[in-house]
Order: sequence, then C-alpha cells, then structure tokens
Amino acid sequence: MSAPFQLEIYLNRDNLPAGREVDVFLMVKARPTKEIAAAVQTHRRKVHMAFVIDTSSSMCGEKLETAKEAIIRRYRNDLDDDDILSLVTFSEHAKIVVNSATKKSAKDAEATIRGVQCETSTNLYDGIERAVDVLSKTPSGYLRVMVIATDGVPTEGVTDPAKIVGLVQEARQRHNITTFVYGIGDDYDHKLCDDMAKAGGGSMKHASEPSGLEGLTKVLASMIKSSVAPKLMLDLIPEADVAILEAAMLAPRAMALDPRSKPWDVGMVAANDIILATFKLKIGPRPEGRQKIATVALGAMTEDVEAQFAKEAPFAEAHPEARIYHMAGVRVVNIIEKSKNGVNPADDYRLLDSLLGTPEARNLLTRDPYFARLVNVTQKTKVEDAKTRVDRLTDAMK
Amino acid sequence: MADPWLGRTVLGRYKIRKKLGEGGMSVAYLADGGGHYVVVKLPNVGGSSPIDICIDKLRVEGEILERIWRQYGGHPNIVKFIDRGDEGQFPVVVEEYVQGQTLAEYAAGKSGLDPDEAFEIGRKLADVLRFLHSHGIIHRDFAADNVIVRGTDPVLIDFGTAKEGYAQMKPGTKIEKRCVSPPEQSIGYAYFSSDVYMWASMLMGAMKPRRGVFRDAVQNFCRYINPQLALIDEPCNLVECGSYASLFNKVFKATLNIDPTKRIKDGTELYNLLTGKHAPTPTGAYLLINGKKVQLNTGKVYILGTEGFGADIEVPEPELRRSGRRYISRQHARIWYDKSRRRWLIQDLGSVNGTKIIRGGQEVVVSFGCRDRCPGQPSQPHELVSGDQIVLAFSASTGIPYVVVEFYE
Repeated sequence: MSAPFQLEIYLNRDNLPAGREVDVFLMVKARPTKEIAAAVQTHRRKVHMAFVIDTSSSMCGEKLETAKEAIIRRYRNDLDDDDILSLVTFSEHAKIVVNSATKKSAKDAEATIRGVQCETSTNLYDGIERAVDVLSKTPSGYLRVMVIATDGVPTEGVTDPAKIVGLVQEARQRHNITTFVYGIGDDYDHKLCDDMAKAGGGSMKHASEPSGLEGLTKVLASMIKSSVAPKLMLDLIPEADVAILEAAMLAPRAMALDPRSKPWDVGMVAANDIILATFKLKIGPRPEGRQKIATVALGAMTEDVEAQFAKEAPFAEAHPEARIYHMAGVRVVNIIEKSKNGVNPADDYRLLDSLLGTPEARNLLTRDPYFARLVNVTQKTKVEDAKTRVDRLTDAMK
Repeated sequence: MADPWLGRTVLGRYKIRKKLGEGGMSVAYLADGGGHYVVVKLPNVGGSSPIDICIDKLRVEGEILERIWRQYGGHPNIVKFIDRGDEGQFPVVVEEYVQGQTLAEYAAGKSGLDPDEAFEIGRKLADVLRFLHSHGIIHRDFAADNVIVRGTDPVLIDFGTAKEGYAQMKPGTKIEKRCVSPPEQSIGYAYFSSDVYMWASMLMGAMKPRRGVFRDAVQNFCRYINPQLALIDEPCNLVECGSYASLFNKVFKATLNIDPTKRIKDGTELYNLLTGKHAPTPTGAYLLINGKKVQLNTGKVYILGTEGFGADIEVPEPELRRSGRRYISRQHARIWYDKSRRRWLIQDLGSVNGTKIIRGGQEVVVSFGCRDRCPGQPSQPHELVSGDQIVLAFSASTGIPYVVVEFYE
C-alpha cells in the first residue's frame, strides 16, 4: 500500500558551515495523499460518537435545548445507519441516557434525547468515566469519539483538573478515544477544556452563544467521518550532536510542542487537513560533506533529514519559509498560551508584525496561501476577546 | 496590514491596481493587463471556508471558464476567459472586466424590471443555461449578484460554484442562498433543474412587484413563497408581467416546482418554453446523460457501458480528472422497451459497482454489483418510469451514487 501522507521536509539553509555550531530551522509539511483523501470521502468512517453533556442548573434553558437539538441533528443527518451514538449526561452524578444506539436498532433515541432535563451540580469526571466505559466496548472498525459540552467548572466528585485530564489521556492511550470539547458561554474553565482536548487528541471550540453549537458539531461530524488518521504521532529524532531548541505545530491545530515529551500527538487528521510543524535546531560542529542530522517520523513513515556542510558556507536561505513559519508559529502559540492564562499578548503581536514587515515574509504572503491564511487570521484576532482569539488561532490554518 | 497583492504583477503581465470585492471563495482585483483592465481572481485566504477548498474551487472555475471559451466557443452573455496560472501556490484566474451593475443593483435602481426588459434578460440568461447545460455544466449559484448588466445585456460573471459532469446526487458542498436556491441545494444536492429554479427566482425577484415596494431581488422573492417554498399565488399576481402574463405564469410555475424531477429539466427546455421553440426536444423516451439527451427507440436494445468498449450508449466516468478510477463496467446494463407490456425495462448485466433506481426519493436496487466476487450475474429486469434517476455504480459501504443518468418518457 502506498504511503498515506505526502511528506515534505525543508531546512531553511542548503549549505551549513562545517567545523562550528550552527542554528537551523526545519519545517515538516504533510498532507493526506489524493488517493487516501478520495477513499475516505467515498468510504466514510464508521464512528461511535459519545456526547457527554453538562446538565447542571446553569445549562437550563437555551443551552441544553440547543445541545440536545444539535445531537439529534448529528444523529439524524450526519451519522450513517451503522454508526453508533451514545449520550451521557452529568450533573450531581452521571447518567447513560443513550447507550450505543444505531439508527437501525433504536427508533426512539431522538425522543429519549429530547427528554433530558437539567439538574444541579457539575460532576464532569463521572460523566467522562461513564462515557469511556461505554466507548471502550465499541466493536472494532469504529472510530471512538467523545464530545464533551460544558458551560461551567467541575463542582462535584473528582474536581482536580489534573485527574480529569489524566482520565481523558488514559482514554486516548488505552482505548483510542479521541476527545473534542465545547465550552459554552463565558464561565467554563478554558484551560481545563483545552487541556482535555489536547490530551484527547482532539480540539476545543468556544461557543460564545449556544446557537454556535449546531454549526460547530456539524463541522466536527463531517471532519470525523472523513478522518484519515484518528491517532497520528509525529516525532523528530535528532542525531547525538543535534538539540531541539524550539518546536511548534501550526496545523492541523496550533500548539507548542515540548521537546522533552516526544513523540507528539498530532490528533485526528481529516482528509482536507495539512500537518505543519516547525523546529529550531542547534547542530554541533560537523566535518565537511553531506550528513544526516535527524529523522522525521510521521505515523509509520520515516524520512532522514540531511544537510550539506562546507568550509565556505555564507548565509543564504534556500527555503526561508522554514524560518518564517517557525518564527510566526512561535509567536502564534505564545499568543494562544498568554491569552489562555490572562496575559496580554501585545508583545507577541508586535514581534509578529515586525517579522511580517520583512521582504521574505511579504513575499511568502503572495506565494503560500496557508501562510497568508495564518497571517490573516492572526491579524484579525488582535481585537478579539481571549477565548475567541484562542479558538481562531488554534484552527488558523484550516 | 496592507494588502500584499496591491501593486504586484501576477503571471508576469497583470499588475494589480485595486480590490474590487470578495466572495466566500475568492477575491477579485482590478488589474492592468497591458493597456486594458482585467479582473484577477485569487483564493480568499481571509474567509471562513477551508483554504484548500478555496484553492480547489478557483482552479475548477478557471478550468471551466477556459473550456467554455477555448473548447466550446464561448457565449456572449458569459464573462470572457483571459488567462490562468499559478503564483507560488496561489491559483490565479484572469477574466474580462465587465463594467456595470449587478442585476440586483440594476433592478433595485429601477424599482424592478418592467415586463419587456424582464423577458429580454430572462431569455438571454435562459440561453446561457442552455449553453452551460448542453456542455454538462451546472452553475449552482445562478443569482442576481452573479450577473452584471452591461448596457442592457446580462453577463454571468462568477463560476466559483460551477460543477462539471453529473448532477450532484450525493450530499456534497452546499451552495445555498436563502430563499432563492431550490430546496435540494439546502441539503447538498444539485441538478440541471436546480439552475432552472434559480433562473426563475432571480428573474421574479428582479421584476416589479405588484404589491408593496421593491426591496431587493432576494427579499422580494422571499415574500413570494411560503415556508414550504411554494409560490403563494399565481406568479403574475405577484409581479408585473404585462402582456407576458400567460407565458410567465406558465414558465414560472414549471420552473419553481419544489420537486426537481417535476421541474423543467434544463436550460434547453427552459429556453424552448420561453421562446416557443420545440424542435430540439426529443419525443418519446430518452436518457439525460450529463446534460445531453439520448433518444431511445422502442425497437432497439441499448447496452450502457463505459467509453471506448463499443457500448450502444457510452456513459462517461464521473470526475475522472480527479480520481482516475473507473466505475462503469464495459457492459454495465441494458435498457429496452417491452412491447407486450408496454413499458421500459432496465437490467444490470453483472456490473462490478451495481445499478439502482431513485424514484421519488426512494431507492430500488436493481443489482448490488459483483464488487470483489466478479464476474456477476445479470439481474432481474426492473421497470423504468419517467423521472427515474438511474444510478450506474454506487458505493458498497454508503450507497452514494457515482454516476447518474435520468430517464424520461
């Protein structure tokens, strides 16, 4: 079988100076091959989608009604006959309201969902635990997806964010469950929701108004049904004298990559996604000649990264985009992190603007539509509130 | 941040002067094309649509427009193709610069088109549909904001949503404008008759209303339909039809049927009805294949198969340009008239990817296809009725049709 991804690797410089330490920028770009993308569009993935819905008192009214309607629509319009739907609600305790229903087997699922009512407090941990239990019994051949929607912070049962995130991470590692999170309104714990999505290999979306849930879940369902890789790992294995100084992922979602905790979970990749990660590396003194500096591993694919070392190597960039993407990417993930933590990201915007003022970056804006999209979205987020900004920037290159 | 395209020269010869506007998928710039103005279109990287879809749609737009002018001879009411290419990873499409107002603006400026002008504009736009459909192109957004009135001549300017080949029989990209799009487009389907519906909603919306004031082409039409999208009255009780009342009543009712199979089928039928011509429409039974009518004779048995293997009716593969796969078998199915029972029949001949009929939204499987257990066996014959959509090849796992032809009698 042919490789599922078309992988491109660029160093910003073709020739590096021999005999001394040197910094270099590496860009890894991959996209599903046309054959794979066409195959998943035609043969849609089978999925078990478990919704985990907050039914605490703050969800009463429009929020809960909209969430229920969105679930019913996904069940009716987006899931195929063999797909499985579950619904777990959580307030003081969690309840399995719909357990592994298919359109064929459960004619009354819609009525059951409509009957869900709001109650009291928020026991998120219990809700996730029940959903993981239901999802872990999914027959083979199905994607396992958990979709959490909440408008508040955990108040009941296990409330320690680290334990909740740990539970989601375990679900990912042990049961291949991908977790997506929707934060509704302004009062949910943004960091917790974001950490759950990261640990679960999915993404987190902010719905400032409940009405946003309909569109968001529709996009999600479409993405899941056309997913190419439900759990894709990326690794960069440097040679002994090479150190990873910085790492950032920009697509399919923007986030900082910790060089100490490799490999990195790229998350679920859909047919239309690109994968773009950038690195700043420090290479120890090397003799002259062409030499391997690292290996890139994406899923089961691996590719060596080589560089040419020469005595006379004046600074010239064959692929300045590797550096520009990295510098922009670091700024973008900084803006995301600062916004999540309530810190003003103005300095990062300023640094980004000065990068975009350079001729190489301006040139890239009219050569690379993905970079143009990244810059365009980033500029618009200057005036957004912190939650919307994080939301937009995380998916900037979609 | 300043627009990085302003002042740049693209494709080596078109210097971008100013931004004209943007749609969901592309941005249009006015450019100097060496002594004359042209329109340069680039994908809209600032919009909400996924970037790869914007790129893909603009490429398709360029390909279709180029084919219209270089292969099919062009049409006086379609914007002229000039050039296309790539700037880095950006596709670029260069078109004629059509000066004028959109039909929506033009109609609003006159508080609605009078009947004579409505007929003339409607006739020319029906001819555009006749041309497009005869070349297998569905526009999917045949609306007043995509037509520029140059003098008194309408010019269709935007092909960003156009689709070549078969009707969109599986839910695909939803191209929908509130009120003025036919109901099937809101759930992701599109047929030649969908363009016909939009022709009518555009024209009625642009005509002088008989009651109330002219708002705009879209809002006017919203007032003429009920929540089920059916007209609330005789068309010419809603808009000023003058001496064309009998014709417009007949045409609008036949084009705005919410059931696409009961609507006027394509631009040719529309043009003929509007102008009183009948010659090109086949009588008796026929298949509508990719916008072209293939007459069926009651005395002959027709083998349907893929192109190049001697079938009586060669059915082109769907979107070969993209997937490179073959879906139709060499001898896929046969159609004939059973004189004793006076009905048309279809039989699958043991095809790989099967045959089914879609009738009034319900599916009848003629054969599931032998798939990975070929060769297959011929199926039982099934009766065909007028308006049937015959699916030749469909997905085993999802049932999604790959190739569809229509049967009419």
